[in-house]
Amino acid sequence: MTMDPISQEIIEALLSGKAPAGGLPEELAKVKALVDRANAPASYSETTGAHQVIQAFRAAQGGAIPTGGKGKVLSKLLTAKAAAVAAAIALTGGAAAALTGVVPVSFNSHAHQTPSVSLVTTNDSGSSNAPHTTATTTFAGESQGMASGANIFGECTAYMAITGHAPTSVVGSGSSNPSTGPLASTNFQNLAKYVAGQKGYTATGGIASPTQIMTFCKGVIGTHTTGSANGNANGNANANGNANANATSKGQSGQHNSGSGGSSNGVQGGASVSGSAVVGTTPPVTGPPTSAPPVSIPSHPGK
Amino acid sequence: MTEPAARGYEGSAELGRTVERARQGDEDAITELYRHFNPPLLRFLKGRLPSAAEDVAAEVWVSVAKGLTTFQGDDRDFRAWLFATARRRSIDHLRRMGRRPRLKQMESAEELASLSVEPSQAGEQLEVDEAVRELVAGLSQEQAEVLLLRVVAGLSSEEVAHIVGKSEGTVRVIQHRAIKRLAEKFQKGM
Repeated sequence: MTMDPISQEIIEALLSGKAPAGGLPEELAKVKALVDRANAPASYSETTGAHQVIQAFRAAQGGAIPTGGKGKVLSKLLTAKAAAVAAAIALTGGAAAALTGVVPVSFNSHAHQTPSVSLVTTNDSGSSNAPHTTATTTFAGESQGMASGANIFGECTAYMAITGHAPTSVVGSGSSNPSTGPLASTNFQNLAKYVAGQKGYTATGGIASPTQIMTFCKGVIGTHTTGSANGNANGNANANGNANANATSKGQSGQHNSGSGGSSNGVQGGASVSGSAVVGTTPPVTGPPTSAPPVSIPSHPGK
Repeated sequence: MTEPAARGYEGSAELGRTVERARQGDEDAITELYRHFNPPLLRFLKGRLPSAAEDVAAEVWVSVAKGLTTFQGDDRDFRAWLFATARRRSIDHLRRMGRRPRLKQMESAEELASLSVEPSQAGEQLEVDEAVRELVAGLSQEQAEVLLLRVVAGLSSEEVAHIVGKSEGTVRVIQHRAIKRLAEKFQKGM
């Protein structure tokens, strides 16, 4: 038995639930009845559970982690990140982690007051609008105020920039008087002492010569820049004793300012590249760590 | 061309205001939206993924909750957004399950009856679920999807065309064939 053609109007009426109750062929009346049943009023079980949506909405608004699905993945990532931060804090007394910008501001501000981090000081006549701590406290295991390899890299980057011997990856030029200019700063004196203490760099009076420092620093910078595909360093110096060295390695950045007429706007130079090996997943920080946005580690709703 | 909206789902100023309030973070409005839209959402998903409808519905709502503040539009737009999300999630789910959407027709009501039904469900709900299953029984995946979006989701053929990425004319042809197939099935059963 063949069926009469169904008009487009009837189809639309059936689909929109506006088909007349009577007047339809029997098979279409059954289709209508089926459509009506599928559109029956909502049952209780279909309307419960709104609280989960509210919870997800709150989580989305507050940056917290919604339960299930991607939230679990995010949670794992945050856990890993938190673990990395904890490890960094444990290993470096908070310095490396804070300087990478992966810890909240409260940690950051505290870390910048940690003597072991603050290697660059402005004992000169330079002004400073960033908190400074004199480098009189020694870093664990080191006797000359020099901290980790990353801080040495920062010092070397600044030194090379000031002396105008920056490697190809360091942009900048300038010169200064070693006795009165920025090279006379405590930081570079510490660097000179540090280099003098290194194997193969014996120097009279425990102070390495500029040539020795340069040789040493070329090695340090070379190692860093070849070791990281993302690493780069920018140094700027002028004869007035202002020196800026921005070093970036794997997304870390910092600023080093030193000099007799100079100003210091950022965090001390050692901040430049620290911690990149510790927290490899840290997102790039485009400004000095003190201005970096805090990365919150929200608590899990747990509901 | 926009057709008259489907039953009970006409765009209304009241519902539009509820969407706007929800967008601004009014939790009562979010609850209201959920109560209004979750039943058709669940039914749509039951027609597509009988055994995972509730899980996927939860995913859809989480996704909607995340994007609600940036959503722009009225209640009709919200409905279209909700079901577009549901369709995507159901496709994702099928992919996750390692199988592609079935293009073969469901052979019989017995096959549909074999799909799991929670014993705790009320008789009323069972009846609705059964109607949804019967609606898509014997239809191709494409026909079933269009029919569910038109009948259960309450979308116009234009909105469905936009969601499934086909022309409105194609959607009309698909829905026509679907209704015809259903009618033929009933005719055979008479």
